[in-house]
Amino acid sequence: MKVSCQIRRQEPGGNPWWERYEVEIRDGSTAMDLLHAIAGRDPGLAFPPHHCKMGICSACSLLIDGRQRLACRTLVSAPEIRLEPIPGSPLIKDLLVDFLAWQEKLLTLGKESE
Amino acid sequence: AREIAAGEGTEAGGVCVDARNVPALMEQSRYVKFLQDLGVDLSRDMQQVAPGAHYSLGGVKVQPPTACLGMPGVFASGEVMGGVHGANRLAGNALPETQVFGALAARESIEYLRSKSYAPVRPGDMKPRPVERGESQVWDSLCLARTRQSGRPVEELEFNLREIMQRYGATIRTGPGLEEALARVEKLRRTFREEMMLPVRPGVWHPELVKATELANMLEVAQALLACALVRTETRGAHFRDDFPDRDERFDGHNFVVRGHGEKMSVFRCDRSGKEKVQVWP
Repeated sequence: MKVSCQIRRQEPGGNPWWERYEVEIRDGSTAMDLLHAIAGRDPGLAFPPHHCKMGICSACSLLIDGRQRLACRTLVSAPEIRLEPIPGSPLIKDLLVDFLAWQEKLLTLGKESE
Repeated sequence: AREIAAGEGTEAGGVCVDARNVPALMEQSRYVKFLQDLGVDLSRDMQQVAPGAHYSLGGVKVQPPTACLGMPGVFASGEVMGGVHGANRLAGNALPETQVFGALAARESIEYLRSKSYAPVRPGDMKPRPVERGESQVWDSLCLARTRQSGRPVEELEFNLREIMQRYGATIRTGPGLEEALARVEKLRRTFREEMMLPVRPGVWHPELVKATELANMLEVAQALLACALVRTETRGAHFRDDFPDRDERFDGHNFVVRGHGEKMSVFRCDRSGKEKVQVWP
């Protein structure tokens, strides 16, 4: 199926912009498959990598059509899709955020009550 | 694996699992939910599966419980260390391995630190310096790859390695297959050094550089794995040799130890006592 994908891109220290990609993907593709298809043509697009490949590690977290989802288990079911990085973490580039900062913050949670 | 190797697999290279009449699987498990999200309904659809690498048997040799031999101050725990599971890890033992040996590695690290007197290291004490030419062959290859105007992308090399390992180093192994794989890995190592091209990216995001660094290590592990599989001329646990399909008791309690890396890698066979005995490869 043909998909028109809007992606919120940003270089480190720069301003964000929207970029539109038109791609052809197989039926039953996930948002992660879509990103790999796009990256094949635009290798400069940064996005969170496949990690566990079974929908539990949350490394591929993205805002998909405004909702926080895991890209590896979200089917692309409509001809239009919008992808943005998840909020709340420092942005590295495009769709890729710094998970380490998020993990480190998690580790401090217990300490405050000690 | 046999059906797939014989060309009788599906178009995607797998076999189909028909679980449509297994009611226990219809219970809402995490995995079933994941498949549902992907549009797969186990009660209605067959599932395509194929063998894949799931766990790494063997690994770093340690002075039990976790001290790495030849590397004082380095401790290994979990899947990276060898010797815990023997010829085949039983299902469910990988996670306890991480907990038990993780705790033991922590304990050993603390004892090690207490046994020496270290001046505390402050941020700023350790200043990065450029890697000198000749210090690291891998680093030199990566730097060279970044200067090339044309060449092979790292994704292609990685894909080739995965193909070699899936075909010759996976479920079913044979002597000729392993020899062929070793030759191809050696060739791939040369390609890594002499033909790989890495794009130069500004900033911290550089997935090709990460992939290339990992690939350098994958080539070492692949060679070690293939060489050890070649010299173990029997079938035991997870290691299946089509040309030696039975267990050979002369290998009981014997281990293969890998030393060195790259062209200087060699494999030694150790007997039950654990004393290193004889070089068997190359």
